[in-house]
Amino acid sequence: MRDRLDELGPDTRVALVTFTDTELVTSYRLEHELPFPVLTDPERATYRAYGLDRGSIARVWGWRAARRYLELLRAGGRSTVRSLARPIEDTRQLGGDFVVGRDGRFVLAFRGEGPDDRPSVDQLVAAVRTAAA
Amino acid sequence: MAPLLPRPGPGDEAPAVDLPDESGRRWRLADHRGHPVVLIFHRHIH
Repeated sequence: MRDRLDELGPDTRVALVTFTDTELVTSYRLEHELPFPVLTDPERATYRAYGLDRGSIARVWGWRAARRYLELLRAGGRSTVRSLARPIEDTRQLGGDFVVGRDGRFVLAFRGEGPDDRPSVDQLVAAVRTAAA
Repeated sequence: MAPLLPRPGPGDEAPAVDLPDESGRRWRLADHRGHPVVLIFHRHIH
C-alpha cells in the first residue's frame, strides 16, 4: 500500500490504526517510513465499533499463519517474526481495511479472518476510485 | 458468550474515529468528510 499511495490521488486521506502503546508507534512508523498518521487505540473501542473482533487461536496460529510468517521471514521481515517470539500485544486481535467515501459511508469494509487475510492493493485502489467518484 | 460486534458494511455510515496520533494530536474522521479515506486497522505490531 505504502508503495502505491500515489495511485490513491492527492485528495485521499490515509490513516493507520493500532492498539500499540504510543511509545512503540514512533519506532514502527520510522522503521516502515509511513507517510501517514498512525493512530493509537489502546482500549480498542474503535476496533470494536468497526466490527473487528479477536480471532480464534486455531485461525490466528494455524498452518496458514505459520506459512505467512515463513514468507515474511524469507522476505526479510525479521523484526516481525522476532516480535512473534516474544509478543507483548494481543496477537489474536484481527485487523481490517476500510474505505470511506466523501459522504462518510463505507465503500469497502474488509475484516480479516486471520493474519494472512487482507484485501489486495488493487482492491483498495479500486474502492478509493469509487469513493472519489 | 461475548456479544456480537456490529459489522457495518458498504453503504453504511462509518463509525466515528477520534484518536490521537503518536504526538498526541487528535485525528477525527469527521474532519475529513468530503475526502475519500482509507483506514487500515493493524493487528499487532510488536
